Amino acid sequence: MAAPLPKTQALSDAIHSLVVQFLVPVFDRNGRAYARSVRNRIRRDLEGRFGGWSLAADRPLAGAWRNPGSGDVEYDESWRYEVGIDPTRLHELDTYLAGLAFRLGQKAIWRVAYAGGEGRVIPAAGCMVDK
Amino acid sequence: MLSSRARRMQYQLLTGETLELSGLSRADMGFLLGLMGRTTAEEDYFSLERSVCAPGAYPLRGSPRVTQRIHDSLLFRVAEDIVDRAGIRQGVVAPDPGDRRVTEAIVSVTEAAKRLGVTRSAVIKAARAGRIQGKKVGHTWALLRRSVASYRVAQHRVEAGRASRRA
Repeated sequence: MAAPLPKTQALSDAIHSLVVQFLVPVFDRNGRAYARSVRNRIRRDLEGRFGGWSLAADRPLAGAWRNPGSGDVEYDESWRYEVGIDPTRLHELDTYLAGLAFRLGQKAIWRVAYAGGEGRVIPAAGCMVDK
Repeated sequence: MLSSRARRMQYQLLTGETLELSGLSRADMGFLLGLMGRTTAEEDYFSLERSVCAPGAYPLRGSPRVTQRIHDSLLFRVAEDIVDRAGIRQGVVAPDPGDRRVTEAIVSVTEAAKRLGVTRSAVIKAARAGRIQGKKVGHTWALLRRSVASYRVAQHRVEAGRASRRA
């Protein structure tokens, strides 16, 4: 068994670890559920690249947005995933999320950022979103 | 899905792969049977999924995240498969092209009693005598749907025989 980390090192790791949440849609843009293998691949990726993942909410986040093309209000549901990473790896996560958005046929994978005690949902860097 | 062969419990994943469950503890089996019961009761997929992989979920064994080791564990794989079946039935997860048809292979004593038109104690008696195949884990019986169905056929034959003798 590996020796436990010295307390000071464990504390330092905890301070320098960033918890990042992002939204992965339950359904594709045509309203069809994603296949099990698609979801499993995302989870395996997160385990391999960032050491693990967890679900950060009781239920998927339900949202409504106005489609700029049709002008209709559309509804979607997304799982809120959470990973713990070193802040220096945020760019790596964003790159992964941009690739994921492409793979899922989504315009963006939205990341949840907390600033001044309030949460904001922003697109992961590298995702193409209509302004 | 779940089968009992020569006193061994096996689970067949949606992919068709069969897993031997003898390595699981009683508590693990209790968790899986409870999960199956909740899917039979048509509990919402999202709440089932939380029971398997959210922080504090039993298969995570205290870990705040699902790691590769947890994902590869027998308990997690079976639990996730049980929940996926519910998700597929509820239309929130799509099956993979090679997946087997989603069917419930396990029934509870209450459901078996309802199907057979007998009391719960009659079902338990039949299960104890081996006339209905299944396994008791803790206080819960997991009965094979196939076995309950064939018991119903046998029951009908017995009743038909009695009726013809009376005539």
